[in-house]
Formats: sequence, C-alpha cells, structure tokens
Amino acid sequence: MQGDRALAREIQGEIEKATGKQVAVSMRDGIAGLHGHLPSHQAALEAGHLAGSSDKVREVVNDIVFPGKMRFKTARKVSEELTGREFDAVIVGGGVIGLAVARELSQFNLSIALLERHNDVGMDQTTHSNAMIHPAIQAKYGTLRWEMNYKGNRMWNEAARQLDVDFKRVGTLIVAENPGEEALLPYAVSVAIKHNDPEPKLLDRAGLDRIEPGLAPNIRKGVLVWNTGIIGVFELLIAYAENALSNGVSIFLDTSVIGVQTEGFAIKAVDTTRGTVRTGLLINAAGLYADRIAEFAGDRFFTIHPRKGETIIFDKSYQPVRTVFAPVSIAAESQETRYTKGGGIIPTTDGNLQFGPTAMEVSDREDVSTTAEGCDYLFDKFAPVLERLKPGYEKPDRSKIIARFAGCRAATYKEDFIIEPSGKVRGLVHVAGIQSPGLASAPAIAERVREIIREERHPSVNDKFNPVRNRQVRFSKLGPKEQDRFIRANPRFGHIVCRCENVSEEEVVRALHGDIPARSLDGVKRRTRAGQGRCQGGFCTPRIVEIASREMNIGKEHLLKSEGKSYVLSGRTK
Amino acid sequence: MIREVDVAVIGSGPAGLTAAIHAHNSGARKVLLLEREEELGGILKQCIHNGFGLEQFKQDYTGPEYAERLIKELEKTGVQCFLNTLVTDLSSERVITALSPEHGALEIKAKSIVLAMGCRERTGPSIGIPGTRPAGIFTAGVAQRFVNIDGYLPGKKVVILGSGDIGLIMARRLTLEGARVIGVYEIMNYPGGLKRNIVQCLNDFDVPLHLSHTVTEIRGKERVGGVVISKVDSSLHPVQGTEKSIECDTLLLSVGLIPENELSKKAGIELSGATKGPITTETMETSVPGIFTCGNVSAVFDLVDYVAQTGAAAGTFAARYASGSLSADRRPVDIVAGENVRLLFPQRYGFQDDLVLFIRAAEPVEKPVTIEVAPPGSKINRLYARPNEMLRVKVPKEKLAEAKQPIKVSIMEK
Amino acid sequence: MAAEKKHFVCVVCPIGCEIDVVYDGSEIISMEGNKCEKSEEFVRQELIGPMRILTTTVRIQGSRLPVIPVRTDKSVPKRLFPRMMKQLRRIKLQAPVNMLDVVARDVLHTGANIIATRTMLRE
Repeated sequence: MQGDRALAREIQGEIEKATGKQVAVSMRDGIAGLHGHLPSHQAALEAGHLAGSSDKVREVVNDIVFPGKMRFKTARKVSEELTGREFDAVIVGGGVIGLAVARELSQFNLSIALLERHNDVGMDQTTHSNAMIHPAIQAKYGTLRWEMNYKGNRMWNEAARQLDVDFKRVGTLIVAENPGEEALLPYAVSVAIKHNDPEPKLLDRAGLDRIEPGLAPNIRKGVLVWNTGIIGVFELLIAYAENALSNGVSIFLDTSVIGVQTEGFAIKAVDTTRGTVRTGLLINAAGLYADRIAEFAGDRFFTIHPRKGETIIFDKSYQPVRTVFAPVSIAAESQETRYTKGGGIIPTTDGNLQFGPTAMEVSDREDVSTTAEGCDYLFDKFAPVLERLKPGYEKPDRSKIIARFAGCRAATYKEDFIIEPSGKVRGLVHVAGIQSPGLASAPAIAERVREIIREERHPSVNDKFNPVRNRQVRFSKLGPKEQDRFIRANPRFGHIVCRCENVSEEEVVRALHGDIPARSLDGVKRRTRAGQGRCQGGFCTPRIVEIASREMNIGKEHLLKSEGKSYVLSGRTK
Repeated sequence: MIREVDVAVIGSGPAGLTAAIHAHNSGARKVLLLEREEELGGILKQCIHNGFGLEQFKQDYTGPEYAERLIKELEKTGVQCFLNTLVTDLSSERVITALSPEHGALEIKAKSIVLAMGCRERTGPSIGIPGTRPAGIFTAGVAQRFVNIDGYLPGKKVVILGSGDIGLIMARRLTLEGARVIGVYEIMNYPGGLKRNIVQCLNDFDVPLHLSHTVTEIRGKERVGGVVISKVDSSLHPVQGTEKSIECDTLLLSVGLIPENELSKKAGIELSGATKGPITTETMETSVPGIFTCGNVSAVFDLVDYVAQTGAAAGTFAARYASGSLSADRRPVDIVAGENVRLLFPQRYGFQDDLVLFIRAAEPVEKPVTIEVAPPGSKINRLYARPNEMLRVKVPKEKLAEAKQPIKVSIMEK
Repeated sequence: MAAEKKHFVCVVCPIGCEIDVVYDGSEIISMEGNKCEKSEEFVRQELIGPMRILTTTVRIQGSRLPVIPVRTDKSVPKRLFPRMMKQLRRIKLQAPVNMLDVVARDVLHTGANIIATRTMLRE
C-alpha cells in the first residue's frame, strides 16, 4: 500500500511536469487510475503513456476528461430473438481474433456463440490491416505481444493450408544503401534471431537480384527476413467463420453487447441488442471496445486508446516490389517507433501495392476517415524510396492510387496484449489490447485462449472437429477449358459482372448466399473483389445492385452500401 | 471451340456499330460483333438526351434513337452479334478470348480486329478526397444509368464535382426528376463540358457553376452528409480559409473519361501518353498489324458524330486488311503536337486516305486562330480554340503526298 | 416599362456567343457580342419564353426494363417542364413499344406529342 501511494505520487509528478496540470492518480493491484481534467486529447494521451511506461504499472485506466472526449453510445435493443438461448461460451467480437478463438474452441464439446456488432466479420481492425504476417523482429522483446507474434508467425503455413487462404512468405527485404548501412546488417540478423525469427538470409548482390531484381547499383548487400508473410485477409475471416460454423459455432451478426450480468462475481448472461443470452463463460475479444465489455462485466482495468492508421493502395499495374521492402533507414526507424508514424511498402496477395499504415492517436474509436496529411505523408515518405532504390522501374504516381482506407488499432497504455482470465470475475477471459501484429499472432492467441479454457473448464474434446475448409471457386483463375465446363454446367459463370477483376454473376450470387452471406455492396466486394479494380465499381455497381436486390428479394432502394442507413439509392424516379 | 472470322469488332457502341456496318459494306464476309451487355448500343442507351447526330445525320436524335438507327442498319447486313460476351484476352496474333453464358469460353481467330471498347469514368479525384467513404458517391455515368435505365434516383440533394458533359447532363436530369442540384464545382478556371450544355443544363435550371473550386472533404458515416468545398489557387491547390461546408446526400463525379485499353495492352499495342489510346494512322490501324481502333477507346471525343467517323474508317480499312487489299507501300510519318496543342488523333499518317485530324487545344483562345499542318504547310482557320471543344480539320490526301517526318500541328492566334 | 439588361449565351451553333441584350418586354433595344444574325431570333425567343425539347422516361410494364426513354416531338416552353414531368409520372406503358410511338398526345395543349425514343420488346 505504501509503495502504491508513492508510485501514484511519482506518476502524478511526471504528468504535472509534462502537462503543467495536476490530475488525480490512484494505484491498486498494479493498475493506475487517472482522473481529472486536462486541456487536450494530446495531454490526456501523454498522461496515459507516462503512467503506462512505469514497469510497476500493469495497466492504466485513463478517465481524464478533455474537451471533445467521446462518450460511449449504447446501441438500442431491436429484438428479443436471442432471449432464452444458452451457450457454454459467448465470444464478443467477430474480428480475426474472435473468429480464430471460436474455431479453436470448437475443438471442444462446447456450445459457442460469437456476437459481432457489424453486419459482417472483421469490420474494424482486421479488414483495415495491411494483411501482413509480421516477423517478430520488430516486437518489443519479452512482451506477450512478441511471444504471440513469433509463435503465431510459425503457425501460418498450416493454418492457411487448412483454411484454403492465399498466403505467401514474401519476406521483408532490408537493403543497405552505403557501407555504413551495410555494417548494420549483421545486427539486424542478430535481432531477428534474438526475437525467435528463423535465421534471416544475408544476401550479396547476386542473392538480392534473385529476390528483388532491378535494385539501384549502389545496393550491394541486404538481409531477407524471409518469414514475413502476406495473406488474403478477408478470405481468412470468411474461412475462420465458415470453419467455426461447420464445427458447430453459432455466429450472430448485427448484434451488439449492451450489458453483462454477473452473480457473485461470476458471468451469468450477456445482454445484447437482440436479447439476453445465458452463459457462464464470456470471452472478451471486442477489440476497440474491449474496455467497455470489461466495464460491463465489472472488471475494468485497462483503457483502449484508438490509434488510427491510414493506407494507400495502388492499381495492379504498378507492382514494383515482390517483398515487404525496407531499406535500413526505414527498418531501423520502425524498431524505435512504437506509437508514432511508421508504415511500410507492402505487397498484397491480390497484387496491389500498399503504402502504410500511418499511426495517429484519435479520440473517436469509429474514426475511419482518411486525411490529406496521411496520404501526403505516406506518398512523400515511400515514393522516393522506390524511386531511389528501384530506378529502372516506373515511378510511383499518385494517379495510380486506387483506394485509401483507415482503421483504428485497439491499443492499451501498456501497448501489450492482454490474454488472461479475469482476476475478479469467474468465467470472464480477456483477449484485449490486440493491435498490430494481431493478425500474425491470431493462431497463437487462439491457442493460448484454448489452453486457458482447458485449464479452467476441462471440456471434453470434440471428436468430429474438422480443421479443413475449402474456398469457393475463383472463376477467373481457371483455365479456358475448365471455364467452359463451368459455364456449360451453370451459364451464370459466363456472365461477367466485374470486368476489372473478371468476377462472374454466379460468384456474386454465392457471396449473397454463403454461410456468412454478404449483406451489402461492400460485403459482395470483399468476398468477390467485384468493384475493387481500377474502375472502382463504375461498371459493376448497377449490375451488382440488380443481382443483390433479386437474390435478397428486396427493392433496390433498400440495398445498403455498408450498414446502418447507408442506402445506395434513394428511391424510384416514378 | 475456335471460331474463325474475317473481322471481329469488340464493343457495340456508336464506334463498334458503325465499324461493323462499314466492314460489311466494304466486302468483309464474316463480321462478328462482340458486346458484353445484353443488348447493342453501348452507352447511347442511357444517354436519353438529344443532341446526337446533328452533323452525321443532320438530325437531332436522342442517344437511344441514334443507336436504334445504327442497329437497324446493322440488322440489314446480317453481321453476327454475340451479346453478354466479355472479351478477356487479346493477342497480337489476333486471337480473342471471351466468355459468355451462351457460348462458354470462346476463342476467336480474326483476320482483322476493330477495338471499340469505349472509355470509363475517372474516379481518381474521389479517391484523393480526404474524409469518409459513405454511400452516395457516384460517377455521373453510373448515376445516369441508375436514373435512365433502372428508374432509380441516386439521391435528393446533389453536389457535382467536375463540369464534364455527363455531369452537366445529369444536373438537368436530376433536377427534372425532383432532386436538388446545389451546384457544379470545377477545379479548372474553365468548364470541362460543351458550352451548349452549360447553357441548357445549368443556366436553364438555375444550377450554379463554380469555377476554380473543388471538394476537399467528404463527410458522413453511412450516407454522404455533406462535403467541404474550397477555392483553388492558380496551381490548383486548395486555398486555406476558403472552406465552405455544404449539406448534401450525394456527390456526383464528372471529372473525365479514360479510354479503356486493358485489352490493347495485352495485345502489346503502343499507346499514346496524350490520348491514352492506341497510336494510329488515318486508317485507324494500331501499331499491331491487323488491329484497328475507333471511338472513345482511341481518344475521348466530344461528339458521337466524330466517334462514328472513326468507326467508319476502322471498319472500312479492317475489311480491306482482312481481304489482303490494304497495301502499305510507304512508311507512316509521325504527327506531332506543336504550339498550343494538347492532344492529337491520329498520331501517324500512312498515305492511304485523307487526313482527318482531331485536335484538342492546350489553352483557350477566344479569338480567330490558324491551325497549321506542316509540312506540307496547310493552314486552316477557326473562330476560336477551346480545350473543351475538339477541333476537326481535314487535309486531302493529295496535299499530303509530300509530307515529311514529322508532320507538326500548331494552333496560332491569327 | 423601363429597359432592362440581360446576358445570354447563344446555343444556335457551337460558338456560343456571349450576348448582352437591352430589352423592353419582348422588344430588343440593343444587342452586343453576337457574331451572326441567327442570335437575334434566338434571343427574341428566349425573351418571349425559352423553348426546349424535353427528354425523360416513363414507366413501362412487361419489358426487361422498368422505364422507357421518351421526348417531346418538338420544342415546348421550358416553363412547362415541371408540369409535364408531373403528368408523365402518371403514365404506365405496356410492352411492346416501338421507337417513335406516341405515348401522350398534345401534352398540356402545347401541340407537342410525347414519343418513345427506343423500341422495347415484351419479355
């Protein structure tokens, strides 16, 4: 107790020194609580980070009020359809973590429900990520984030094979531009090894030419951290969901949690916008709202502070690199920067190069808007790198940017993952603070949760568990003979609705009737790539509206672009 | 199954229809027209406004009337049409790969090919606009299709970015259908569309046109809730402090058209950086022998009459190529842009026919100009030169017999 | 009545002369900026009341598409557009319809007919 008080005073002093203002600091069980007023969001963030930087602080609850601070909005109840249902386990959050956990837990004989507030899976962090499986070289050594990163990275070959998802270990290529930088390369190798990455390859010019042809003549040496991967991230979400469903998990979309009922410090039920579900086991994988769920359950010991990342994507005709491309100058910087601007030059499995993401603290967890500054920053930072290091290749050109997006990372002030049973509430497991590299870590996180549940609940093993899932046919990838056979069997394959990505009507129809069906134009786009090409839906939008309204049996004016009231059209002209 | 034809035409808009008719009329026996949609006519079907065919037919047709006139003409020829057929690949050996519900995966070997795929709308600036990505952002052409073909209104309070012709036409169309068009915002200091469209689509309906303005932010979470408009300076950068917030539920983009040359690239056809279409001669032949081009896939034309004219040439010469009667006894010479010329079509002269040049000025000149084609030194006078109105000049074949590499085209104040 | 000033852009030909007109009622007092005589007739009509072709769509049943494009067969007063649009909203055709078929006769007593601008078959 004495120590707690001293620590609280110390933190208070540091915050006062940095912000010039006094806030109240409490310490209990290693959790720092911050209260009071500060003049800006920036100051409140600084206070949180100062508290979080102490080794003796396990987590930070930041209740500091600042002008413009957002309040949580509780969603309105729409039905009671789930009332009376009971599950052995309820997972809150249908991002890659919640879905991976659901699939993992379906190895046990447990009835499982997964609740997702959006009308599709992975709509917050996962689909706004860069679809990259990070090596552990950049993770802070010794943290849980690092442990999950290196363990998860190793698991992807098998997971991607079982789930039938595009996955490629393209590697991160660290190139040296001068002798000074060349001298740093062995250090990069040692850092990777220390971080439990498999031994990277030190490359001479001949080796570099095989991996990344066309480099500038001054580049003579490099390191390939070869375990970096890229993955078809939306297909992965669907794969996890389909596999979980086929192993007995129930998934409820459009379902927000609005309360948690406990009894004698044990989970009893979850109140949702679709009624109350009884359960004794609640897995909090709620991402940006994990602290809110913790609060509902009476175990609030961390605060999520959203950190926005913006990314720009180029047309397929611009593919200057095969690897995640990182000259020493950039690789060294990302070692240092934990919550400042970062980003990289990252290819995707679909062949669209990305620059991103940025890192910008925001106060609104729903803020997915892009900014002029973000785009300029990314372009001005990475375009010259490509121009300099791949001089023979076509210059990066802003007119080749076909999309920009942004998403918020769900960071805590310790900037580490929280994967543990609640110390306060029986039957509550937190899988919180999962930010980058959450995607790379997902299989390891799911496994860790599985072991927590095994120890706590001793569930029996589901003998019928099948880890394998097969994806829908991708018509455009078939050879002409096979395409002909498919069209003869089903002429809708011969009707191409998206001419940029060559997507057929049948694929759109299947996306609308899948196990996790598309409920919006964006949902169709994510599943089929229709509208993701260079014309950005110019040709296919009216056609997909036509097919979707027919297949969903709704008027075109009821069709959504995404969710809520995002109606595509306002009504008939007459 | 491999099919063999004399002339294959890809696309059945005004260019493709005209090319197919002319190929047939020039003696090609087996002409095949490939169309990806369920009926012929291309974009004309949704252009229900009038103003088509004033030059060509001396008639004021609407788009569908113009299309139907060509379709009826085509029907008399017996040219075969494959509808719902999307061409997915094209080789320099003139082999077409296509998909269709009716015919399956097709392979077509053609003695000559006419490209008539048209153009697509630019979306670039919308991607560059910071903010959110809600529902309610359309290119003008997509909105036009929703209104005129499907009978649906895209929104009720509309801001239009860019003053291209389709945007202007849609300002009128949406107003007539009961939507409120708040204004048209054009980043340049001159309008993108034709003057008659400014008058008849904007002025007639009291829709204001704001030059040197652009959209700098899109707002709204689910559906567009508003946009921020800013003035731009002479280098087209938004001027800080001029931001104005406008409430609307729809943003229409009319910011230009891009020739759709994905297939041309697959066939290895040389493209022009200026027009973004194939580099051609007056016969419409591209850099790949036997592949011809016409209409908006070659360069974006202002008038359908111009499009049809290139289609006629492409069809005629493609038929001659297929029959082996197209001789190339002289090497083509380049035609290059001189003073105040932004783009030119065609870019080569092959000594086969009169040269009909389409020229777009770089800067507006609101006084009489002389268009010089030299050598041989032809001079043609016009009353003005405007970037938004293509100039068309004809130089007879005889005059060009002495043409030397390169022919330079300039627009000079008189 | 006092003389008034108005600015016009002539759309008789593509030149689009910018014309400043001083007029009294429908009488032109002076004109400036026009390059030819045709503008005078145009401006006179604009002063009396602008005449335009109306192009729009009407509903149709029994065809693949729900609306069919139509137009007036001659110019009609522009000020009547809103009333014409309202009237055309009530029309519902039955496929098949041929191009140039008359859809509505002597609309709003203008002497103009509304005609279909394409053929739509029964499906």
